[in-house]
Amino acid sequence: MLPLAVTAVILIGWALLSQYGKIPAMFLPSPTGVWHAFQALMADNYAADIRASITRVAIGFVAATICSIPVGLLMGSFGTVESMLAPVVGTLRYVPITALVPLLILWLGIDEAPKLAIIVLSTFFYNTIMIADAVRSVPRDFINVSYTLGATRLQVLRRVILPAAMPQIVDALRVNVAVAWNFLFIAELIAADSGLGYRLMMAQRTNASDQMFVALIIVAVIGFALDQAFRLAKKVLLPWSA
Amino acid sequence: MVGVGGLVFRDVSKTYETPGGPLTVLQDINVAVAPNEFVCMVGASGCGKSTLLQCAAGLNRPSAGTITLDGEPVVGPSADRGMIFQSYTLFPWLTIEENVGFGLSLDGVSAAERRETIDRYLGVVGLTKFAKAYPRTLSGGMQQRVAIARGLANQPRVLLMDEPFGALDAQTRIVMQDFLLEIWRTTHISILFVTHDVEEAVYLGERVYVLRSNPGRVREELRPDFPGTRDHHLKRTTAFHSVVDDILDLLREEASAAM
Repeated sequence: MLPLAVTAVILIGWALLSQYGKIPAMFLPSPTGVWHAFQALMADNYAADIRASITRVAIGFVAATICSIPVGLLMGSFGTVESMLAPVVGTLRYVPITALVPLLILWLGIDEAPKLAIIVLSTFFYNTIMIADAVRSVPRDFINVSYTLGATRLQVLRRVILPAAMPQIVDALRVNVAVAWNFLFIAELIAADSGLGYRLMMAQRTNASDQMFVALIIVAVIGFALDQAFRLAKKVLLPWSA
Repeated sequence: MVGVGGLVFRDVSKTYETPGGPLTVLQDINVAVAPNEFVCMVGASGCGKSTLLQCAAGLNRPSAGTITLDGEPVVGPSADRGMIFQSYTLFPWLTIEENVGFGLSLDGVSAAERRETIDRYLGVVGLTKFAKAYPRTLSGGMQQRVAIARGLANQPRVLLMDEPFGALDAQTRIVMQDFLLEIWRTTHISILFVTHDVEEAVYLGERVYVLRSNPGRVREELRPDFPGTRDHHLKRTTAFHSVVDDILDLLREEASAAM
């Protein structure tokens, strides 16, 4: 109830400010203005751009997750893997992914590949480090008791460490999918001919602030929906972890 | 099950390399648990008793000496030697019955056979009606009973218990002691039980080893011989208290020497 009330207050405040606040519509469009811009954009195939952006995040984030779960699991579980990879992963994390954009464009061209690469790179390191942390926080006695029940190393990894770390892994993914959205916009602002970021850049050329607001609201709604989806997934798939 | 579960420690020592030089936590330990025997080991914290159990479980390696189970040397952890920990180690993502069947599911015991074993041991620990519950809905005492059922369901030859009732409140602890004696009488599994609670050691153990600290060594071996079946009345007898007091005296000497 409270979140709805807050949203309503913000909307009303916005409407009042744009109506009576003497701010030119070019800087602050009214809610109805944004609604009309949304309708106009939808008539202009905006849905395809939304789809393009969602698809990029989905592919990039899923690929990064598929790579980071095994690497994070191994890093967190085995000291040798940790000492091998920690300097690499730990250092690369400090390289701003945006600094790689010129290189990625040089190597991969300007099609889908560099955009996906930016999303994969930006989330892989965070995912891996957070998953390795989740694994390290699995109680030592869980692992010990499994060995005394006859588990092999692989069984301990699959049947004890992975499920024990799962709630924290899901939380890490929930946080990092927001990072993926962040970098999607960077990718699409630099070089794209579709997507929400591309449309945002088009809007900037004509100072169409109403269209910029449309893009921001859509991203916010998608982000909110994703966050709720991760929370719901955790509740349904990991009911024991509440 | 008669005649298995003989655990022997021969000249076992454990030394850790530390920045301040080598630190010996166990020195020349010679201890044995006969098949079907209930042996307790009591000592102050720092006497290395947990390390000793971990060596027996194969989770840790002695620096010197050998540990054998029924004559076979211990080289690593195995389902032969079940271990119960002080911390609650039930897997929170598995139901009670799945926890009890965990060990069996690891080496592909058929579902039907597993079912039968799970039901039997849930019955033994009196928690059949919690089969489908998750561990967090159970009290600490119940969780330790499930942990014991999980250990027993694997049919190990010896059960290693590392202060299993250390985290429980006094009343629950007393109930659990009787419960464990009952389990031991029905299954006759060999038990090596480590505790710092002298009363607990004397009450449970057919034999009690008293350890001294820094480094951990066997100070004394006692065979408290009380007539009749052990139950809570025993704790009120003079014979019981005289054994407890003797051990407390040994430990007190130890503690004041260390101060």
